[in-house]
Amino acid sequence: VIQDLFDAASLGSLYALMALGIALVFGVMGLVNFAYGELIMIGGYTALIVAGAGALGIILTTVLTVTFAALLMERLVFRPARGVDPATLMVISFALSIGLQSLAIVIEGARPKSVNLFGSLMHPVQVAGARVGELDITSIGLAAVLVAGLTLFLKKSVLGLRLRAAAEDFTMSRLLGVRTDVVFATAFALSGALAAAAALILTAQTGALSPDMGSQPVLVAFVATVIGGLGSLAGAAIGGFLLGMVSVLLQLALPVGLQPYTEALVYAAVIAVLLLRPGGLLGSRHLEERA
Amino acid sequence: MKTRAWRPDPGIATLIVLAAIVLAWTLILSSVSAYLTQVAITSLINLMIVIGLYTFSGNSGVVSFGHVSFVAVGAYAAAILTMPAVSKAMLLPGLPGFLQGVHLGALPATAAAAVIACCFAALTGAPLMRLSGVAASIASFAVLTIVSVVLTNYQALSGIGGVLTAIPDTTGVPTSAAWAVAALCAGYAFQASRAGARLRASREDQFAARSLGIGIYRERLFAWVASAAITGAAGALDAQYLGALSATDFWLPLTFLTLAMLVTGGMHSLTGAVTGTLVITVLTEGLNQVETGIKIAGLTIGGRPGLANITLAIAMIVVLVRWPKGLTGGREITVPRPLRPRRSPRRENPAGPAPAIPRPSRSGHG
Repeated sequence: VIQDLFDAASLGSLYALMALGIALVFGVMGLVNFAYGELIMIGGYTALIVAGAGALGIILTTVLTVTFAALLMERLVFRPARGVDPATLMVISFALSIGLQSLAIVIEGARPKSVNLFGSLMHPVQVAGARVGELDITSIGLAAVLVAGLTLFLKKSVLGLRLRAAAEDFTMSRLLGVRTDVVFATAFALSGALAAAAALILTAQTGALSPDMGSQPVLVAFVATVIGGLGSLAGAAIGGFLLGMVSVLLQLALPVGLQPYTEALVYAAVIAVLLLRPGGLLGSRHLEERA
Repeated sequence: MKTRAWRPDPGIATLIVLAAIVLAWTLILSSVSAYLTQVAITSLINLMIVIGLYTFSGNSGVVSFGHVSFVAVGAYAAAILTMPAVSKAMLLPGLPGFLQGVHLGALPATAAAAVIACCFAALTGAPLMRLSGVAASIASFAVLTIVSVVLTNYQALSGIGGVLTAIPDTTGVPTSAAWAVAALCAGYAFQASRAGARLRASREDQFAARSLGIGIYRERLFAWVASAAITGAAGALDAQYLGALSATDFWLPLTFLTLAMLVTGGMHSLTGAVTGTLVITVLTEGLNQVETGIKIAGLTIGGRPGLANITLAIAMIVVLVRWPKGLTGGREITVPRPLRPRRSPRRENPAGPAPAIPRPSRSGHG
């Protein structure tokens, strides 16, 4: 049972990281970034290319590459599209996502590839009498550290303050001299770094890479941000963690015949929750629509 | 008091022009070759999906990723209703008894599929439409996923792995053209109706709309259900055109394609829905030719899978960044002035953009 709980918490922290990355960008520029899944895909393939470089090398290269890709995305696509309404922005990011997936198919082929990252973390360790994968513990620990680091950055640094100001009231923050370009780039860079972490955890856990590897998790992360309350960072993290926990535990609790429906049941539960709390668990004060 | 002479509504002129364009497109393509006839039928079915999508998203301003699930519901409903009993006994042994015996013709089956899609939409829309715009968009993805998972795994209703065959393929050029024009009329009727006007009012300024007594939840829900009828019928036609279904047909690629069509053409007008469908069809067909490789002097150039989607994605991004309102800019096609009745006042088009009103806070958030 303890082992199952660790499994659940590990998936939960993965989704929490992704939901945070999505919520960061949404909070600042109102963009629901579908191409976030492709940042994770880029991270996965980068890790495959440098898989022989040792743990530190893999981590550094992946984080740098994905962050760079996120900044490039912002500069080439989303900066020119600034001021476009959120619905159109969402469709633009959807197109970008499909385009990047297709690009990966052209370069790497459509077939899944296997990769063994951090093989040394595969040994189980004893925790409270149960055998728990070291990887699970590492994932949970990494997620906790990143969430703490992000919180610290947002609360204590000047850049974090500007970011929060822009998320709070964009027009006002501009009037007070916060530079839009810097804020947007920071949000994308942070979300890229989070994507890199998520990519490393995901590929280490599944050991598989495919051009569409980011699509499914990113959809879960989107739903997590809605469950948590759009516009709330804490809500996104909690929503992601809950969704991951519930998926794993439901998968274990369901009889074999119903297991293929786990995803459908989780989403049905999400819709049920939204029926009770349309604003999400931590409904944001700022969303003006149907407050 | 003088009685005013009857004047045709300029909106009707738009509808007639659009229907004529669609019919001409169909006629030209289907007279060239058998392959282009297939392209024409597929484009007509896609056009119906896009019109359904426009009816909801265009009027409400809420992007939906869930309409392909209505297409799926319509397609599987029509498949079950039209399959001969013998094939049903073989492919769907787990089907409930009363459905085993049902065998409908093409028209009643399509109508029934549309109604079933409406019921499904009412069920899903009731919770979804309570959400704010962006949240509703994301949650509509949940609906798409649920339908896809169920179709893939629920063998009693959708066969093994969601694969159904032996559906009578009764959809031809006349059927699909007739249904596409019917969908155009339905889309126009909704847009010109009071419900359509109320929904667009809520799209432009929800506070003003609410202060006028417009219930956004009710209006969106109504449009969601109405648009499901159009998309459900499209699914039914699709099933009866292909003769075989697979759950993977109703997933992200179709969602992307139809959304690309609507947004590229211009999400805020019926003309945009038609323009986008035709433009993207031409583009993807051209790219498919490139993808399979162009033969020049015995050499095959290109031909890598994925190139078509990359080009499509780039085209979409460029169009949307340059013209965020799509190629038509949210305007409707109109009849040139000399053809119009004299002294007809220039009317604001019903779906056109309203003057921008400054939002109270947080620019760029909806």
